Amino acid sequence: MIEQILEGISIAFTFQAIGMVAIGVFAGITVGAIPGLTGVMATAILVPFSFFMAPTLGIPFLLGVHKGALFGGSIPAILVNTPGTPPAAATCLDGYPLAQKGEAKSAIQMALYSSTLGDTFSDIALIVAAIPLAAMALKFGPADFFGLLVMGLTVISSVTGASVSKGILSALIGLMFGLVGLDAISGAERFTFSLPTLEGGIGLVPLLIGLFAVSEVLIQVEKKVSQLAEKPPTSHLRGGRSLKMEEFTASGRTIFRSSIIGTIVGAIPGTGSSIATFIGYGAAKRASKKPEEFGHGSYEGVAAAEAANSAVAGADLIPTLTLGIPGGGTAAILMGAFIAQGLRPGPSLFEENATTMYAIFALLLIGNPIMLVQGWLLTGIFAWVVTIRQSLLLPCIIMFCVVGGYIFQNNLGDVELSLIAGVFGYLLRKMNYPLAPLVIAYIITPMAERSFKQALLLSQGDYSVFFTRPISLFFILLAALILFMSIWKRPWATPGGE
Amino acid sequence: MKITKMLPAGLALALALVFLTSATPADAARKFPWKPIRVIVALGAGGSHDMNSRAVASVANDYFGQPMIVQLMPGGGGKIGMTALKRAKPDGHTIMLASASHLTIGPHVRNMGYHPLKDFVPIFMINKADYMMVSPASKPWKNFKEFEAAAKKNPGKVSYGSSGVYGTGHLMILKIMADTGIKLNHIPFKGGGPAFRAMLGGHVDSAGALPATGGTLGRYKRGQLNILGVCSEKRVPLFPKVPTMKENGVDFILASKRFYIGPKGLPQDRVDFLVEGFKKLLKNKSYRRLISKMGEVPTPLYGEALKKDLADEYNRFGKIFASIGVKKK
Repeated sequence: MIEQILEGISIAFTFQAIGMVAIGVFAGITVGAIPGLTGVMATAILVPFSFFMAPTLGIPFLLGVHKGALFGGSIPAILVNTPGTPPAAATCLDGYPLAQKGEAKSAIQMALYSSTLGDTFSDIALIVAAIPLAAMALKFGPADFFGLLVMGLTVISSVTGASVSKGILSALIGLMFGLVGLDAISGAERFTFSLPTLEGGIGLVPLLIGLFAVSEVLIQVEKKVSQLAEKPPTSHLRGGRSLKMEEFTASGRTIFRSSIIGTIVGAIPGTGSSIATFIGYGAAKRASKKPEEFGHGSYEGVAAAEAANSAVAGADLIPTLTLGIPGGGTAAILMGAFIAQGLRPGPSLFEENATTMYAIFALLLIGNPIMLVQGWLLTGIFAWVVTIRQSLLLPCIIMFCVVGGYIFQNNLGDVELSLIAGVFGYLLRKMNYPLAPLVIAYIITPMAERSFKQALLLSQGDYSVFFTRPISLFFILLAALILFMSIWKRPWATPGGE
Repeated sequence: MKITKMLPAGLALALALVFLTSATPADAARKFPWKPIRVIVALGAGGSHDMNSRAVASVANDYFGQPMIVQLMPGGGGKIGMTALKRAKPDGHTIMLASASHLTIGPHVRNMGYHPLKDFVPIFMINKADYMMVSPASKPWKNFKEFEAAAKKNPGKVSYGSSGVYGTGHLMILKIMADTGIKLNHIPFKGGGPAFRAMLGGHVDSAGALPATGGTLGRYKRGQLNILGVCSEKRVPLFPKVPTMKENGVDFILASKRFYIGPKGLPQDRVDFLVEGFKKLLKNKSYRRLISKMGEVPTPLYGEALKKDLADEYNRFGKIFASIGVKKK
């Protein structure tokens, strides 16, 4: 065993292997930084290239892309309030206010450090605990998934913003959006208006592009033409200061908490980094000494979101590699790449290909310092995006929105959808409705509905199944506790009410 | 600040390139294929169709003189990808690795906006994987007869996890119930993977599987699951002890077939060119190695034989739906 580990490490420490990881990370950050291009798309496009490489080169290359994209998504989230990838949606909440205050550079550095730490934590978890954790995930039946998702929904209570009623209304709109498409159990069409685009439900990518990116352009366009043509004040963005050590250490606990949350959520198949992000963000806000800063430019908020979404990267592979069941979209594609290389995921993977797997794991870890270095250098390069005149930047963002909406499924209907969602998001934002509850409810609703119905089908319609299964009961009690805490804490946290 | 000034110039250059490359000389004068062949897959990433299409694409350049570019177009229950193929120029540069659920099953139960046999030209069936019925080892039954007995004793309580409503798994359930008289509890999942996972965890009593799904073969050998039956004509060499579903009393043949189709109006000489290429490609060693790892069996079929196979399958599923009383919505 030690021999195999050492042999694996010696394969990993070659110029070629490390070079491939570096290229992968670079491609990932770049793609992640372009709104509309997601890590899933990037890996899907790049998988065929990995077929022509040795497993110890091709797979780490793809893992690098996966890693890079999760961090890269935070760059436009902070700079232009547009999540580069869906999991970075929560990063906008605090990253963009920070950028507005002139702290873009330090915010991106916060995102980079927490991303790297979250990822490293998750990779170590994958390496150490892959097999036992996967065995636990297998115990999750439909009722247990439902419990977990209910707990996820309670997170909404912590991101409602100033007005609770507006937050709830926004969540209800998201829930309604989540109902569009084919009914999971009966196959009946719901709210599709006979439009093929809506048959598979409202696409997550076009919806996010519309709500976050298109609406932002619309808000900017309200300004006078002369104002848009003006060069934005570059001094504080260009020469923005670096993150201070004490700012970083103040978020240490948050990063650690989010890393654990991201890792656990990532290890459960079917839940993605988007959910982990919002759970991590909500938990950080509840535990924070300064919860009132959240949403107005809190470094802790950026750290919470980024550590959680990057911590999914390694953990996503736990069920993928040990059970052959992908933990998420990107993991599904990575699994295809593993199989194409003759590495059949499953418990026997580690017995049959120990050396190769240890080499891949070693490269997975090496990818983290590589990301840190590249992210450090790229921070400067990407910062100039903000210094471009808005009259130039806004058309480019709209172009990326349209292109991104299109290449999601090569469907023009999705472009229309993202533009409509943009107008809708614009109206909501003008009326001060928070967007985060909408997105969370929209992502969780279809999954929760399916699990709920499956559980009831299995129990022959007996509702007690949600309370008799220990895992489900645990999550539902936790959800109740979270709700209670947020109601109980509110009057103290916001004296005088809001 | 030079970069910001160069941006418009760069954009103009990019646009000019786009226009230049889209201008092509007369098609007839050029030898097919003169540009990469686009392969549409109307299913999601990481699925068995995606993997198969990429396995072919990995060696395609040597056999067609042009690379194959896989384009995933999932969504709308296959409608989006199928419609794109239907509207594509029938010049052989756009083909599809088709799925039975969109071609021979879906149109029976949903209005898809195309005719599966009339709007498309079959090109080549390259390989297939037989559909199997599996149960976790933790359940009291070890074979289909015992499973059937358990289901008879508890009508509607023994569950089967399918890949979704009116997919292949659902059809399998309907057929089992029709042929044996037992009543199963149908639990639809989003895709075969989640259904298989729920089966492994013992949350559902049975599910469908392909040899490639979640390492079926290895798990079977280690005794983690029982294969109750294979939906093939004859027993499969990989699992000689496993009876066919026909032997179990369920007359159902089902395999995940990987076949290429093109839009209506595709010239015969181009179909022939593609068929010849696929025939040679099937002998490629690295391709054979890839698909055998996925548990796929090469099944070359083309021309009239493929046309008949698809028509037969379409009619057969239509009859099954009719006999069960499922009508198109």
